[in-house]
Amino acid sequence: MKINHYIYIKTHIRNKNRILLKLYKARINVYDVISQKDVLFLKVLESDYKKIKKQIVTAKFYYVTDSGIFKIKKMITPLKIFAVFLFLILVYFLSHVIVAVDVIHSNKEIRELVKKSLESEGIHFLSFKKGYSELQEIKEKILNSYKDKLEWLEIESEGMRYIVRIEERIINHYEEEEKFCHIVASKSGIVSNVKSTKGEILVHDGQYVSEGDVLISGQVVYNEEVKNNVCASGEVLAEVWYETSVSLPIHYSTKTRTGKKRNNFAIETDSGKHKIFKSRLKNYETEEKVLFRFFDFTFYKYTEYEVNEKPEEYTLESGVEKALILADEKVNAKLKYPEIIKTRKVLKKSINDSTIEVEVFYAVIENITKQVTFSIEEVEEEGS
Amino acid sequence: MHLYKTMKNFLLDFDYYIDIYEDKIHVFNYTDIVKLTDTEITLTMPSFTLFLEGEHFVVKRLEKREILIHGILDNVRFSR
Repeated sequence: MKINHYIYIKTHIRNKNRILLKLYKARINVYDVISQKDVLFLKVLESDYKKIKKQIVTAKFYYVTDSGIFKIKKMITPLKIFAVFLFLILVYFLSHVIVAVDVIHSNKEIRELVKKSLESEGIHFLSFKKGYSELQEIKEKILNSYKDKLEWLEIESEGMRYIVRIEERIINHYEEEEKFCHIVASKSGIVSNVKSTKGEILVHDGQYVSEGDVLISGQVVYNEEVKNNVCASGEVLAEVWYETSVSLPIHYSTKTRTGKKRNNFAIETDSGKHKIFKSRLKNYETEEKVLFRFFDFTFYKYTEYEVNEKPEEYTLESGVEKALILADEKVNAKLKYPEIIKTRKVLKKSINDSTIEVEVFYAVIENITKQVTFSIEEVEEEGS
Repeated sequence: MHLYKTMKNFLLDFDYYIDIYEDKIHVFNYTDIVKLTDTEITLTMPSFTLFLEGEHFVVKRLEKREILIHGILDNVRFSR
């Protein structure tokens, strides 16, 4: 599409109508007429300007300015573009740089300590702001380095400043009373491994123990006589048993990407994330990436992948397979190293109209130790 | 305005038309300007001559086929 280039020209004349008539006779279109005392401003096509100068010799015409988009085009000079670009860089720089790190605590020693640690982590005057995860890492690192001095630390970003709030760790050294304890079984099971650092081991591998049985005694006995009382410590692994049931819906859907994707942008404010453009895909999955942060706003780039949802149905076999994976996850979530699942067995499986019910038996190697304290008086009373 | 009027003229197939507003007069498809002053404008139309009388007439737009005049219109006449 061709855009007409209009310009404003002016002429000094008393009888403006005569000029207009002359322009009319010369078949020149006038798109706007502004009359100011003895000056007449005319909006004409740029291509007609030479024609006017040539044909109307009784008046002198002067170019004033361009009109519309051409006026803007003339205003945008490389220097102005450069200035805007420079301004944006400056705004970006100012919004990402720290001019002060304020450590708030009454103890000067603690303040200096934290300030030095922050400096060594790259948080100082005129340094760039860190991302959220990076700040968390720095916090963890400082807290771990000064476990005995710092209880809690928080780094807040306020404009161009970082405000660091600290809670000092106050350790009270109580004199611990000497205590005596047994290691007892927290669950019934068959012992598979015993490790003791203190106390006398009373059980062996392969032995069945009930809940509450003493596994490692705090009383050191020699020749049927209690020679010493200690606080027993150690680890007893035993085979224990569980039954767990999983209920699974028969109908489910799988999503596959079609390969079609659309980009979108989002802005995160205090009220949550808001998409800038409307999604053009019907069914889609979204992957997000942080573009930049500006004060309290975070700008995200969204990549929306079109997906096809396909309804699927479990058979009893595939359902049981899936249920076993879920049951394993359920049991594993409770276990800590070196606890493991020894064996498992499906006890019951059934399929209804909408669900698959599976009951699974588990044999698990688990730490069954529990510390129970005792007093010498109690033991003597029991003995008498 | 020009495009809209041209399209309107094409669709309605008028030879000419004259729009009179509060302080504007728009004439489309005139053939000639006979007289142009602050108080009197005479235009030749395809089948008659149009006389406009009033005060403070100022031409705001002047094209080959249309003219837009600002001013206070007191009297409109035409003769065949």
